Amino acid sequence: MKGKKGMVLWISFLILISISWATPAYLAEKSPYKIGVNLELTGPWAEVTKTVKMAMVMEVEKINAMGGVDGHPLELVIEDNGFDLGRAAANMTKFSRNKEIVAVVGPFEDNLQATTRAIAEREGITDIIICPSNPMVRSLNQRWSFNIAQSDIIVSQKLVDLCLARGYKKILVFPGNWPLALSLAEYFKRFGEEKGMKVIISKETHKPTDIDMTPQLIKLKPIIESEKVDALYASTGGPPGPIICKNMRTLGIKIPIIGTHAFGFNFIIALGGEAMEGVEFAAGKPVVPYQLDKDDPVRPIVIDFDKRMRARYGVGADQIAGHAHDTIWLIYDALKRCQGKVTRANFRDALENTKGLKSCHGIYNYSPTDHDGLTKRDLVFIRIEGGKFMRIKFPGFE
Amino acid sequence: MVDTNQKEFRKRDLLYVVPLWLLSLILPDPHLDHLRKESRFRRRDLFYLGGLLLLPLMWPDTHLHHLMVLAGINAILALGLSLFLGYAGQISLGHAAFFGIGVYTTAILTTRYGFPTFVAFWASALVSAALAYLIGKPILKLKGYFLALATLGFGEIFLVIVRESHSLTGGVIGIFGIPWFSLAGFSFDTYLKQYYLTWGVLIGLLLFSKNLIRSKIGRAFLAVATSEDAASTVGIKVAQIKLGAFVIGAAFAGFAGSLFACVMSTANPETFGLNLSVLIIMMVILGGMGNLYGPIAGAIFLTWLVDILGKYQEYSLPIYGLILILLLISFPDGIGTRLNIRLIYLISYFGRKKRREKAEL
Repeated sequence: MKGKKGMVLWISFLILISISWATPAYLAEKSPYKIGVNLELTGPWAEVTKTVKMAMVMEVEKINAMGGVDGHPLELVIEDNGFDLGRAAANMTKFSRNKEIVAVVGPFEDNLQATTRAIAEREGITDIIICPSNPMVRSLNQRWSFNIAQSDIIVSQKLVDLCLARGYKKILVFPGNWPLALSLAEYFKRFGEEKGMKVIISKETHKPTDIDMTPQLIKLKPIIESEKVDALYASTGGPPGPIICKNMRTLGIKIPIIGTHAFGFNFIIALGGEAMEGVEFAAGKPVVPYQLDKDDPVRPIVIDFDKRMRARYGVGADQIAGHAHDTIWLIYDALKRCQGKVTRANFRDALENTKGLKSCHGIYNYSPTDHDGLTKRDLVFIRIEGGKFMRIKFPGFE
Repeated sequence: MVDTNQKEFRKRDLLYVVPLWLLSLILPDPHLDHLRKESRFRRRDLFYLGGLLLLPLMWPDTHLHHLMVLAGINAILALGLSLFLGYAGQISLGHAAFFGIGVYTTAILTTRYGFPTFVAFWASALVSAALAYLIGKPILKLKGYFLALATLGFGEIFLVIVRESHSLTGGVIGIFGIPWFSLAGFSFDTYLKQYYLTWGVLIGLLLFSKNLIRSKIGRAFLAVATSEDAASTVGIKVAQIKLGAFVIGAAFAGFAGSLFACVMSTANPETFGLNLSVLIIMMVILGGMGNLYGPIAGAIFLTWLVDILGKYQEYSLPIYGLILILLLISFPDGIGTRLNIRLIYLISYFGRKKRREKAEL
């Protein structure tokens, strides 16, 4: 009897200690740094943003397991904006009102970015944009906005290099009718014509929600045949890419296809199947983790990230997962370098002073005049062969 | 990064319920309806007006102000459509196009030609109304499904025109840098100011609509909605009445579009698709047709619902659909008509209990 009572006492004592001492001490000591995430988790870009979310959650958990930022854990506050301008803007004010949120990531699509960037300027909160935005948006005053992805300018330059290496002289561009796809097409034409290529931008366009491009391609087929076009450049992103390839092959158009960096998504091959064979494009390094040069400084980071993605979600790293990874590590790096108490202004200054940070996509350098970060050297040429992304190299263009 | 002001905020919240409660005391008591029927409407309006004016001051929260600005813009759209859909009984699936015309009129006039926003505000409504007149003249001869299809087609054609005419509308990239709404040097540059602007416009339009539906034209709307043939036998010019409702609805959408352009500072074709048209119809149906407060309640409710659901991420869309289905099953006449005064009445239940007992004695 006495022994039992003693045991009860001991157990309650232990519970008391664990409740009143250990747990609160661990929880209350350092408040978390919160990061708002404003993404199109429903709507036409849902498939792409799903990967972003998965990769971000995984990286944040890794950082917290490492002990967080000087003991402060990171925390994501994810909100869906449903590809709607009003909702994206309202999410942005919701985040800016919450004093614990240090920075906001997203939104993904161009159409929503101009407004959220303006709110970021007004409210004084860092807005990190994952998807590259069109030049009109980037030319706006952007003290508080940072771009993670390779800009349309460097992607277009790299694709022109690809065409020169392959010896293509005439290219037909089939752009999507959203801002980024159109600006990619226009930059490609500008840089291509500087190098003496002939670039035709088709009047036919497509929407991100189109599930069949046969009508447009039937109209393009006579142009391809009469002009003797060397290759077709599908300036697009997301699901339309594989649909274009499939429909082209069904119509019997055999010319090579060039894609954008938005072809470097895992689901692209699954959607397109055999039609994707031989498609070439330029994309970031996470698309081909094991084929990077042995002396590439980011190779170990990409391989480690790819392995963790495979272990947890069963899919490898790709272009967009790499952007999500880099976003989190850029934030981590900037928080570590913050002088004194972390405030929004401190964080912005620290992020702007990022110099030589090695992450999945390459080496990031920000400065007050350059909020783009990456350069042309951070892109590689890729060809789809046997249902896999294979890196290709051209002497003189790497 | 410590949330000290968040704790303060909660305490303050409780204090702010007091003026709302006091305000609710002036509401009419449904139990005492037989005693004073005359002043019933005026008192309810006064309550809503007081609530609206006090709301942003009670909760000084930018997110709330921002959402209420969006809700107000949606409410203007829903109010305009409710005249056409709820009163005149016609269906339009292209209402978002008039909203878009309003947005682009303001965007083009202010950024390209440097017009003041106040002029652009009126011009937006005029252009929307003029286009509605030109389009409504032929297509309003159609009835039922055919009218729905014709308006749907108009909405799509509008989108294609906006996307393809790069020199005028900027194509898919759109127009940036639309200035804040300003009037005689006073710029509406915070969400609080925009709140009063939007809801001020809404109250003006509501008063207009209230007078309209009690006028001869308003009665004619109801007659047309019930039976076009019967209406024409009593001498109502059915085609003109339908066109009138369509043009007024479009003018409201033009006002809403102009405010939206000034709040968002961008104009972009993705905003005015079929989604928005259906959302406005949903606001009218959910709020209650044939009732002017219903669409406003529906607009506020749906704007808030969509914002709250954001945190459920990928599940937001299924949950949204489920809630709408459940609401339509349980409130087939709309939340505005069934709940009506009840909810607000509940707030002041104990305050008026005594009064009622006194009156009954």
